[in-house]
Amino acid sequence: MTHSHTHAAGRRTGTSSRHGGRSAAPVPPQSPARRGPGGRRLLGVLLLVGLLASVLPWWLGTPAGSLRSTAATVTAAGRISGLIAGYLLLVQVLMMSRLPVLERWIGGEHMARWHRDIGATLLVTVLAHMSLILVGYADLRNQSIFAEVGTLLGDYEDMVSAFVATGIMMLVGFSSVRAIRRALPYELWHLLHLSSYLILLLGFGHQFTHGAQLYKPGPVRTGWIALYLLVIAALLWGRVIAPLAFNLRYKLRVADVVAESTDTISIYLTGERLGRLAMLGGQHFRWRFLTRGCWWQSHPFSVSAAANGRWLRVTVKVVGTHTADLRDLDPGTRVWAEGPSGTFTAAHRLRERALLIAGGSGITPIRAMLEELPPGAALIYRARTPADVLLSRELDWLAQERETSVWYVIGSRDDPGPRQLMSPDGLRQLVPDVARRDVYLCGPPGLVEQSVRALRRAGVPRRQIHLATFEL
Amino acid sequence: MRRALLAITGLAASTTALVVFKGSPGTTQVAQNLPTAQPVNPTPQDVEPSADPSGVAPKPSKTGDAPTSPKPTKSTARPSGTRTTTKAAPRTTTKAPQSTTRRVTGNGFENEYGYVQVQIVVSGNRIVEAVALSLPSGGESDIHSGDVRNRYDGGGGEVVQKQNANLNTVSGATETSNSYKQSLRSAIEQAF
Amino acid sequence: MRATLTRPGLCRVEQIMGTAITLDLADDLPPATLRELADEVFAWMREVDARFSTYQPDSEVCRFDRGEVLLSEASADLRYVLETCADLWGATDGFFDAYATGRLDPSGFVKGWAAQVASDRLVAAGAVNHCVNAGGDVRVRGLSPSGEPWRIGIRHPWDAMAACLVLSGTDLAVATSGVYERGRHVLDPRRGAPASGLRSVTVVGTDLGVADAYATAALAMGTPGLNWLARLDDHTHAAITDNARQYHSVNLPLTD
Repeated sequence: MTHSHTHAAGRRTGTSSRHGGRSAAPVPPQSPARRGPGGRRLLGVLLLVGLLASVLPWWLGTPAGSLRSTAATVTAAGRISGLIAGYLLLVQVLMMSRLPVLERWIGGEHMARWHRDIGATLLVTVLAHMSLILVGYADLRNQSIFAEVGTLLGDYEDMVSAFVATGIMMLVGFSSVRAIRRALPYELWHLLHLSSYLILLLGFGHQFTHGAQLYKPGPVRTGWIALYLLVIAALLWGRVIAPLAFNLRYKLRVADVVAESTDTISIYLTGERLGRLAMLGGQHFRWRFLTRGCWWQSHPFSVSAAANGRWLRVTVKVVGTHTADLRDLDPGTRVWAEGPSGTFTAAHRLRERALLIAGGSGITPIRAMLEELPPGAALIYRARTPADVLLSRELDWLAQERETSVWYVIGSRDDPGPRQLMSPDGLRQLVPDVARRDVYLCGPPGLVEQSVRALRRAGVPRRQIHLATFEL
Repeated sequence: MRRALLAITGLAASTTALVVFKGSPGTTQVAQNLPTAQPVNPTPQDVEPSADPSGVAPKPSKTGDAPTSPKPTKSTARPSGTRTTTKAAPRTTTKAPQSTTRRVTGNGFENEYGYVQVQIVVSGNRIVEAVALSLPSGGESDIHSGDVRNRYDGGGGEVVQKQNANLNTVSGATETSNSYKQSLRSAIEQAF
Repeated sequence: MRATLTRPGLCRVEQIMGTAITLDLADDLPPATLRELADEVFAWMREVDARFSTYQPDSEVCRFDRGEVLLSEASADLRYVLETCADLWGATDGFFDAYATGRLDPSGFVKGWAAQVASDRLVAAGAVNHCVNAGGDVRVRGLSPSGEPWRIGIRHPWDAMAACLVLSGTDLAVATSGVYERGRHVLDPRRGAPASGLRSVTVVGTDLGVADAYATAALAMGTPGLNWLARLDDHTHAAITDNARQYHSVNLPLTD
């Protein structure tokens, strides 16, 4: 059997968690009510309707048969793409507003995918808008494209800022191409991405001074402005008001920092009214530890234990300077948290039973989720060496308590054992009903990609595969 | 990324479809070239608009506001240039009163500010009126004129107000846009 | 019905010089005489168009510009136009420039001048009550058909169907220069860049050609044009800025 290369690694190298697993949840919580993809689909439909509505003013305002020349046609296409781009930009910002409702409905993983897809579409649409309008206007005025650029920049109010906005958008777009992004330091990438808000600001003016459908006072213009206000309100709510309310309510503080292994620590947090904190295992917060060196950086960490009313815990692999500083956190340090967010929870499963695949420190959300899954779940825990296995005592206890089978798969990705196991056949042998399970994946990108491929070939439908994403 | 590609393709296709739909000759031409057999109005107009038709209307004043047939196009709401020029005192008329007026609508042309379409009123072989059925109007400035109308700011100058007194003529810069000329030319070509 | 038929005089519109020329004769003259006068006026306007059009390569202006006609061979009219344009160039500090586009284009003066000449000829022929409107440049004399001074509206910059000021008079040359559509600009000939600040400038005087040139120049100057206009002794003016403010000289012949 393939188990020959897998063995339970109960060995712990660091000091164990003080609370252990047992005391964390004396009574394993009930599985939370399921949250289906209904909200996400509804939102998708709403966004499509909005897209149609944004082009409607053009349709109504353009007399049939009025597009006789090429220039008129090209200009019309430019206007349509402009309207679409304006709308997509708002949707894109809305996606980033961290509005609790959106986070709950869509969830981080889908949000990230939507954000990426809409972002790419938006960039292409904006470029199309710009080039179509340039070509169309140049033709109307009988001048070259370059002369037209000059005319637009020189004679048209707000056009310089619109061009700058396009430039920023291209920069943000290109820096988000995966290969380029990996080469950039996170801070630089983040800064670039933050400048996206400038796009909203700089691109605003030209829509109203020159937008054929928007410059006239009337319902269309009013509606468009209202949309802007709405998105800004969502942004304020999701990014400022909701986090403020959350932190004033729960007043989180560091209670203790415990080493889980040589390079992994658990941070225990306490606060007020934690019993009322609605949080699901597998969700994450964006944390800011308010010490001199750390306050300015916000990092998404999953909680590594389900809600228990007394404390929260994050388990962090110490990489990079920021996380290294976390070792030295003093008990009592105030913590600013934004969340909880994510649909990587037991509540979002589609089937009754689940297969969990964790890699390295990716165990943390899965460990928390395990408490809320119904009995019969299966866990595959990939780690490079036995020393990389975290929280194994808790896992063993949960396995017993919640009738969960746990396989520790130790070894390099290229070792024959793990390779065989992480193949479609291996997965089917290990979990014969894998195609009828929800699969939760959390780990390094290589493992996730490999697993998704194997799972798909093993017959698991895409929508039953859940990925934990913290990128946003 | 595959979905983004799909979305981009879809948007491009639908934009093309929209433009093609609108580009196909549709309903605009239906209403044009309606010969309206009616007495000529010898107070012709050029492009300028004006005035409250009831102002110095002649005695049978009801007729004063309908010198020509209502416009057959959607811009009916726009006040067509009517002008009352005389006191009621009937004096000799110099122009042969019996001929027909026709309204001819030029093709619409698109320019970067919007859609331009001109209609001319032809009496006999003479253009007595040219009206822009559809003209792009002044963008951001619309807000200004709308916002500040009827207010006075002592700080610098008066606020532009609209007046609609009886006018004999209007001074203004010519509509020089190519689209206007093209539309006008096509109307004239159709008329003669 | 159609009581509007009953008015003296004659009104005719023709499309010349790429714009609508309206002639309104208010004198109670015999119809045949009026028609003849109108025919003469429009014939003159067409002649001017043929000779001064920059769109027709065989016009006198174009041939002169290409050097095919020497100044000494040019018609008296062309010489007069060229001289006046030169004078106007000086009077407007270079802001009225018949060579602004790189080639000779005196149309900014010619349209008003042609209407002015037509009006002068009508007076000489005994039709002292009339209004000539050449594409928005207006020359009025005497009384309107209603027996009152002519009432001239100045087009509202943002509403083609409304007037923002009404002038009244018996001997006025009213020229308006304006940019009503967004993005359209009059080039400031000295910077080569579009002027900004003014949306519409109206100059009132006695010579329509000069008034037209002054209005064009002031518009090209932008906001500083307001001060320049104020220094003109023999002309009055009204100007509307981009932010919808209206300035006019105290002695502008305004009416309600």
